[in-house]
Amino acid sequence: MSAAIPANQVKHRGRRFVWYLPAILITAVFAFPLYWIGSMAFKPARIVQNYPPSFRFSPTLDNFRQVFDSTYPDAMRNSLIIAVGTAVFSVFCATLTAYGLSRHNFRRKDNLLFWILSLRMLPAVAVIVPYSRMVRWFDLQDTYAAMILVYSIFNISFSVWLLKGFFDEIPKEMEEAARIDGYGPWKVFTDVAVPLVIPGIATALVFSIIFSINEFLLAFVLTQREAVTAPVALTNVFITTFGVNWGGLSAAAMVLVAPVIVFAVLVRNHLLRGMSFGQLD
Amino acid sequence: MRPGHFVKAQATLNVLAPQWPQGPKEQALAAETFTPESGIAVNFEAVNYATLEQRVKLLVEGQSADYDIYDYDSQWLGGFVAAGALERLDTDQFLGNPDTTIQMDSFFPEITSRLVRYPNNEAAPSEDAPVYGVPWSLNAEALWWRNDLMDAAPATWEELRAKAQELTNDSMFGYAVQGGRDADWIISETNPIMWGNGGELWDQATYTAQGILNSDSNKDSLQFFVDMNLVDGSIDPASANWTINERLGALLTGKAAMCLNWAPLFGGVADDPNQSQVVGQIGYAPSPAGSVTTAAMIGCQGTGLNTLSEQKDAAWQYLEWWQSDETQTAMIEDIPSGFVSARTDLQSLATNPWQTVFFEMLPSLRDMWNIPEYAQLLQILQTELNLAYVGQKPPADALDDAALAQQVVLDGSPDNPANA
Amino acid sequence: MSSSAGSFPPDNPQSSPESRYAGQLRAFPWLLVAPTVILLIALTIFPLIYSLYMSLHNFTLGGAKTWIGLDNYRDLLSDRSFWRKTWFTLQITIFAVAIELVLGLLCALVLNKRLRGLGLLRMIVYIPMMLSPLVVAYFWRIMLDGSFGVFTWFAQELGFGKPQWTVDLTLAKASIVATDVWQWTPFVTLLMLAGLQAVHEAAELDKGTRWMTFRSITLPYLMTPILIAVLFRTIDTFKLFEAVYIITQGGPGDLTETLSLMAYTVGFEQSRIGMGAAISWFVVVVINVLATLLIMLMARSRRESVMMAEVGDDE
Repeated sequence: MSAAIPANQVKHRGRRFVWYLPAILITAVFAFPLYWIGSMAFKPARIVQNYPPSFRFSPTLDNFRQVFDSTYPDAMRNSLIIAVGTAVFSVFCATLTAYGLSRHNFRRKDNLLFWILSLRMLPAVAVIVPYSRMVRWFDLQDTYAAMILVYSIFNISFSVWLLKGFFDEIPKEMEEAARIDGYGPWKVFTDVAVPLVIPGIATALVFSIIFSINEFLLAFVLTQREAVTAPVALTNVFITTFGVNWGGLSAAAMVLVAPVIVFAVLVRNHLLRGMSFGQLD
Repeated sequence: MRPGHFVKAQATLNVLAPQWPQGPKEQALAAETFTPESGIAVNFEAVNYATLEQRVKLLVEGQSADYDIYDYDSQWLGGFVAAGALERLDTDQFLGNPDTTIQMDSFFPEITSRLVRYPNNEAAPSEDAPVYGVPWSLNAEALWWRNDLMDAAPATWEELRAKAQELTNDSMFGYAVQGGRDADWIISETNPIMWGNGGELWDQATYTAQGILNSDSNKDSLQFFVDMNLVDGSIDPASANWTINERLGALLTGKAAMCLNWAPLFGGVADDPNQSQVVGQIGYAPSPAGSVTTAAMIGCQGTGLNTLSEQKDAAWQYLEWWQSDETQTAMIEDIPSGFVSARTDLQSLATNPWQTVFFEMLPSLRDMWNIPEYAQLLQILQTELNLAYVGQKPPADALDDAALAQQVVLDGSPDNPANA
Repeated sequence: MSSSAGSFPPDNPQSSPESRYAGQLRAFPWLLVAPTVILLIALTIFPLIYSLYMSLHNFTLGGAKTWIGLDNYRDLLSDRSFWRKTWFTLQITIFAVAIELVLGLLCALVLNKRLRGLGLLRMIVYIPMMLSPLVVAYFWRIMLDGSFGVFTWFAQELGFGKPQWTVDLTLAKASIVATDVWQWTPFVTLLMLAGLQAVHEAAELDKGTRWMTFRSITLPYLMTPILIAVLFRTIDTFKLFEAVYIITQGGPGDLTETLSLMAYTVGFEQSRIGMGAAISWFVVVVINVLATLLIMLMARSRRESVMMAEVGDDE
């Protein structure tokens, strides 16, 4: 393409600016509840239930002070450790599995894929008692390790499905060329295939972190003191006898989602880029 | 989560409590007086009230000795005793020990019979049923009312209904309720009316709900309550989904003139300008009277020892400290705690209006089921009450359906005398 | 990245020219898959068997545990309110997933343009799915309150009176769906955007009408992301719990109770964990059926989309 932009493309580009209108409209629809939830963090408690709702008020930072004075920061640290641990562990396992499933035609591959998917289907209520037994047998109650293992079950499922799509997209010729150059299968996997699915790995990490940092019921049952996670601490600290401490809850939620957003922004250029969901049948 | 837990060598008591207004003060007092005197550290863990019951049951299921002391709600007593969660206290080691400073007869019998003794039949209270705890927090549902809009609080439900209609206008409803079906929301609204008009929820001696819950009197009471919403329009229709949170909020933002609410639990919340827009405008009156009697819903919590605790003597020492003159007095005087003592000799120390109203209601306290099946009975009834409240089902049908379903649960209970 | 739309690599290595490598590499994929599979089996076999065992008992938390065979299932299947709740859960799932799909696709089409600042807007749109469902539910509850909620105020300003979002049965259902749609449309949008980027070039250069472009080039590429989105949203929405538990409490009455909420109240709040497990197993069976149907659909439309993509290429 020449450096000068052809006239018809300029016109084309000009027409594309009309897309700002619907784009801003859509964003506004999603952003308004976010704004409202966020504004609660700065609202004095006495006006939360005002009607008409108070759009203008003198903001207070008391709620954030409350959050950092409580046990919540400990729980948030726990949540971050568990979420990152789960993400790394489950995406590592899922990458191996997805590549294996993508590169080889097992006779019962579809069944295996479906079984992995089905692990996501069981409601937590059915497994909380057996899991609380299991972690006691292995003396893992209230530990990061137990949470990471249990969360991995749910996360491996989605990550395998996601990553298999990415691996399926890699042209076979590339791997074949590497093999002709004398690469062994493991080296083909780590040096050729994995770099090509970085976007998929980034996406799987994001979703894994989102799931693990927000899960409530399993965390409620499997943690109680040292490994208490943020959602459990939210209900312990901000859902009080007085009712819900809206300001504290909002401030705590903002503090919790901040690292997730930061991570998503860091990997934004990778998020699902180049995925066309090749072979998922 | 505090450091105390990590030093196992030194004795540390672990207390599992609900997130409760009096918790912070108890924790501070324990660090100030109990630990220096006894050399025993206290790790006080407050969790969400709605999940505490399940937390304890899961701990029992896992044979856990992680906690030495469990705080519990009166409703959970039967289930906890059946699960073996709570140590029996009327033994030589504890209450029977001549050196102990806790005397059962120093407490109001209205409280101990409902809160720490089990099994207990409210209709025929026993003074020698086994004891599983000591009182921790005492509350009853009082009528909170706007004393700038009314000269006196309504004394009967009929008066309250008339007053609520009179006070309802474009910017305010006369009455606020927690009409949601979760926890014990809507039943706390209907119980005082049903009981006040002579109705009952069940007959505990025979485990019968059929014909008692759906009596004509109860049907009339429920119709009366539903009409305040659907006919009079003196209650906000949104209240059908409300919890304690929105009910109190409606009062404190000046959008309702009256509501039932716990006392002394919330302490001086109505006079705290950070939380209330009606400072100095709230009065506290006993729950109104029905056509037959006055009934006030009890909301009391006890504290007891984990059966599996490895340091029961130290835990008992803590309960003795908790019930001591100094501790109870300090708690009564702490306004945010919203506390009154169960000890008869300390009643005179509680002088705030939200404290004294509790003692006015003491003779009329009533409680619901506290058998292990209570949650099933509660949820069956609340679902039907809520359907009636929003107008999805006629009140009479709702109570008939509830009685039918509850009877199935009661018939299947191993504690039903017919199954003995 | 392959540039031609029709160049999906063949799935079967045996039929490709590289089959001579397949023999020497036969063991390798197994080595990659086996550790995870063994780990997953080790972590799930006991809980699954034990929850099945619980469902065959009158199993109460901290209470009696007596063998009752299939009684829990019999009681459940003969309970009319259970079937009503099953139907309600299905309804919620169908409505929520359908709306999320359409809305997610529309959002993606709009946000896919390569314009300055759209990256920021995309990031804002992604935020709802990053929040804890519990927190989202609590705040939607107060936004939807029929007395002081901000949505109630909007409606009143627009002249609709004060709608009882969480009390009126129809509105309560809609409120639950709306909350799920707000939180999870971003998930669908993200998947769709990924699919759209793959066809970006082709679609931009096409000379046909927009609709024809969409129909013949864009849509075929989107078939797989659409079905992945539908599959995972169906599984998760059918298990919907937080939004219902907190926003409507299952009310009015139990008319907006989902199966997961039922499993929670019965199994957890009432401590009848055996019955809760039985409900959960029913949920698993239904989701399995739904997922199998969706995957069959997925396989078929993939074949069609490959064909359509090739047709689109020829034009």
